[in-house]
Amino acid sequence: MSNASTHSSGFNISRLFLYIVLIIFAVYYLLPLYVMLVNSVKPLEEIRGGDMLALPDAFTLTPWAQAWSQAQIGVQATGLKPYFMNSLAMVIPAVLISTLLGALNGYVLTKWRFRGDGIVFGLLLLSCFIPFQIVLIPMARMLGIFGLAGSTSGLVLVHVVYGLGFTTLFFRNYYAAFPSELVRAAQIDGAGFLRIFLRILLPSSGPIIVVTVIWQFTNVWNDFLFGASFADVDSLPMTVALNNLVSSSTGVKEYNVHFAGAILAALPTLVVYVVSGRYFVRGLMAGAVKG
Amino acid sequence: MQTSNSPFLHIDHVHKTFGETEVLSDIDIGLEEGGFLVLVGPSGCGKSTLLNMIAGFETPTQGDIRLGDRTLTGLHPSQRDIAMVFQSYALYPNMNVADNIGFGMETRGVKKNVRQKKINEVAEMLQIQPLLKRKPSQLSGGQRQRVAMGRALVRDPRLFLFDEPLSNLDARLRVDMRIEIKNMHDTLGTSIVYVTHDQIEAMTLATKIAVLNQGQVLQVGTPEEIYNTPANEFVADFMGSPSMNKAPVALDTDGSAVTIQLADQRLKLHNPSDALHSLAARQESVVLGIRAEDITTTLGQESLDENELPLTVQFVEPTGSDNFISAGDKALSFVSRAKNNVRPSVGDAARLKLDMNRLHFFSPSDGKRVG
Ligand SMILES: Nc1ncnc2c1ncn2[C@@H]1O[C@H](COP(=O)(O)OP(=O)(O)O)[C@@H](O)[C@H]1O
Ligand SMILES: [Mg+2]
Repeated sequence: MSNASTHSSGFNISRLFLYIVLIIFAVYYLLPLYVMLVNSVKPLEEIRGGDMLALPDAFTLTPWAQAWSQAQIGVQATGLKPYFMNSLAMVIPAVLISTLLGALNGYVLTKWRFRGDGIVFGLLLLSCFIPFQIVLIPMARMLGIFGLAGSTSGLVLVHVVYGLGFTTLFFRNYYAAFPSELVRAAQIDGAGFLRIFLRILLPSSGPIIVVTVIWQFTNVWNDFLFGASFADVDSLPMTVALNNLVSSSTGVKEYNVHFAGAILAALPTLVVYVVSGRYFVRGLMAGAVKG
Repeated sequence: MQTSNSPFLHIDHVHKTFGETEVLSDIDIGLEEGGFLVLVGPSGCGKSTLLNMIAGFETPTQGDIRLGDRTLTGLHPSQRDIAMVFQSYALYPNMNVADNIGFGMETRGVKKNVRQKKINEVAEMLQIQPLLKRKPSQLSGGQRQRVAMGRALVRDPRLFLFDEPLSNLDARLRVDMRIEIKNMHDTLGTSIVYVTHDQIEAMTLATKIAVLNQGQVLQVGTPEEIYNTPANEFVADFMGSPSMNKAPVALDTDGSAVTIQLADQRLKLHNPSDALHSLAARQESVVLGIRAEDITTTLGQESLDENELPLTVQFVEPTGSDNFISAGDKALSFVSRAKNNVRPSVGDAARLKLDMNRLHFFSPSDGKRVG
């Protein structure tokens, strides 16, 4: 019988208070989502006439269908679907490439140290803190030179470059705690630079890969500024398209369609977080791999 | 410059500096084929650095290391015909035991069935067959240690390197594994370089010990030489437990014999060295050293023999098999080893008989052995 169990079995005022506060905060944060969900399945008249918080009288999925494939965005009535695909085509390579490069950087910066490696890492870290606005014009020029202006590949490049500082930081710190004796053992076993990375470090990096992927996915998917600055009509990402849908539709404001579109835009990051969120915390806490 | 009688492993006047700091200075050690060399010394004295240079993870700033008839300088660790067991075991965390042992063969492109066969042989030798499918995280410390040995054994190298392989094990297991390593060496006959800061490991395992301190070799010799004739005070202190007793003494001579003054007793030395003779002629002081087991403590002081010191018991430390008795006066204090039935109380009068054939003398200025 431990002390703790006897204590917690009694009624506890401070604990009750804690729960109340937590519930208030949870409601505060969940309320917008609730409003969006509820109103995205109401006919427009019901929103105009009634209470934002009320459940729908006449349930309908039409706003979702409209947002997805019929709404007028820009010139054509394509819905958000092609832009959703644009975003996917941008986010998947951007996340994969920046994560892989971050892992390679972390590996080199901890296990194949070279003269001036600290400075290289410092500069990479600095890139995390450069405000986006500063790089807009130089970046546009670079994309022009590379012939990537207005393309999805251009956006991928921008996001890879911008993400590299963070992904390198994540992997460097993870691999710093990774025993160097492992690399030495592998060297005696005849493994070279790439084989050590691919066969030993990378397979032991699960937690930090999850952290990096979530981080990068969320950032790249939610980015608006780069998308608005560097994309063409046919490479616009979801966030910019949503903005166009909401702000530029002529005539009546179709709030229910806007709500549905906003949820569609938020859905992938939500899914990523729900599926792997618990690994996120675990990965951030994960320390060295004990051989 | 290869001669036929040069040693199997020759660490030839090796220096190592990291930036400005010299970590190893003029290390020169040879090991005959099949020998067991233990590098022993306090933490930070450069043992691992030296081992890492033999393995090829560090390059000597100066000097050369040769194994058999070829120089190791410039060779990749995988091409040196060595195998290494690390302090942290360094098992690949993502691979099971069999893959850990077989990784080197896999890299070299050895066929799967050959690999399998060798893995099984080694596993049988180390009795780890039931563990082959497990991940390192599912093994105990002792089991990891075995797997690490297996990974080294399977390479069938010309030289094994061990870097403090037992320091992460508990005391009991450490003794067991020590015996196993010794047996392995006796069976295989492969040369070994073994790093430890534990003087007992050094004494029990080595055919040759090199005592290092602050990047310098203080003495190289067999365990007996190191223990019986330590070259200086540091080696005398470091090897043996408890540490050697020491006391400053004034030398004197009565013409032929050399004498020392201790606890109001005048003791005549047996076979003093020439150095002691000349120091005694000048009535100089030296540091006397004597090990606990070379002192016999008897209770009571009624009749005092020649070579016996009248001292008072200050402290008794029972270890089960033996009692270590501290006795002294205002000027000196000696620890002696006695049977566990000799159990005096603090303050008792005792007489300590020194084994006059097992005295050590060191120069007070530089600590070097003078007799
Ligand atoms: N890569 C390195 N750079 C700078 N100093 C080092 C490096 N490796 C070891 N040292 C220094 O060399 C000395 C000897 O280290 P080491 O060989 O690990 O000692 P030991 O194994 O005897 O404990 C220590 O003072 C250590 O700080
Ligand atoms: Mg060491």
